[in-house]
Amino acid sequence: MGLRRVSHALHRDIGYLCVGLTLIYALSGIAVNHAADWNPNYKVVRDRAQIAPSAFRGVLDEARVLELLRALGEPPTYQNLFQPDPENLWVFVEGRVIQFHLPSGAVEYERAAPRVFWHAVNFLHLNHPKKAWTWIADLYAVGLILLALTGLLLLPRGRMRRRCLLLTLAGLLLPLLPLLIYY
Amino acid sequence: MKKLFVAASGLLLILTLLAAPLFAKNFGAPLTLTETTSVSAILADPDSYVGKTLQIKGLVVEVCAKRGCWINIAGEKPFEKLHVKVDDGVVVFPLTARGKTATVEGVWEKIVRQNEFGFTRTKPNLDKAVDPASVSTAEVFYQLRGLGAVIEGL
Repeated sequence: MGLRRVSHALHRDIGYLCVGLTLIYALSGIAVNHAADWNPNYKVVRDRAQIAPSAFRGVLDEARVLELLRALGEPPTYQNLFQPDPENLWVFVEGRVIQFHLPSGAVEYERAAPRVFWHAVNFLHLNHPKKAWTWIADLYAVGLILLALTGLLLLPRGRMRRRCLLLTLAGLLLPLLPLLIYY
Repeated sequence: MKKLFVAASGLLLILTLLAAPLFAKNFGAPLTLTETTSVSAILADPDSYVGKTLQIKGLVVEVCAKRGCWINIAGEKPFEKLHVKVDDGVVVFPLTARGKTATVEGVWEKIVRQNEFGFTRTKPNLDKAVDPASVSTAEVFYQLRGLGAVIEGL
């Protein structure tokens, strides 16, 4: 079997094998590239409410915390609470954080829920599992290198060759130009 | 050849599925210390712990919303919290960690803020490192450089 035939077979089989991972890495890549504009892992839902202002300042006891929750119409149960200062109270309830500002009576709810699809693909893309996944990701990277090299060996002959060489050159310049400009 | 590809694809799928949930509650390096230091004790005398590897345990009250690269842990006394910073992308804390109890290990650091010329805001320093003792408290802050963590109930 000639080099060209081997390259073709490798390119085809590795290409099929890499389809799933390429989609995961590409989609997640777009998602995390824009982390400044959105949280690619969590959907943060915020809401506001208003209760009567309180003149109390200091460490809130259990009865006062439950009173605040009741004033909001919340069940009188919570998982944990924290006071960052004498005027504010954060109550952690079932995946939500309820923030009370005592002097103004302003209340802010916040719930963070994982984006099911994006959280999963980012989890893999950013190698949070570590261990076995590191090896799989390395193998995938080797697969991409082989795809690139076998692709080059498959350059067509005849009229199309010039066009493909130009595209290859453009593909090589694409990362080089930003390096020259920004690096 | 066909059987080999089917077997390889099957193995890949199994490893992918297994790799994900097994390590979800542990973050970064495994915990090694057996003794926990109280957050309030550290905050009461931060200088005496600088450079030491510590294990702390407490309520996660805040998480970096953008990158999950820091958390704040509540102290035992009112209004106290301690900042834990991890290397970006190496450890990523989920937003759902808020309100959960975390055990974190790391190195206690004293940071002196400097600009690109080696100046602090009040003490110009042209040719040598800033002496932390000469800098006002506004330019010094402390944090735990987190190496590993376990968060309960995630």
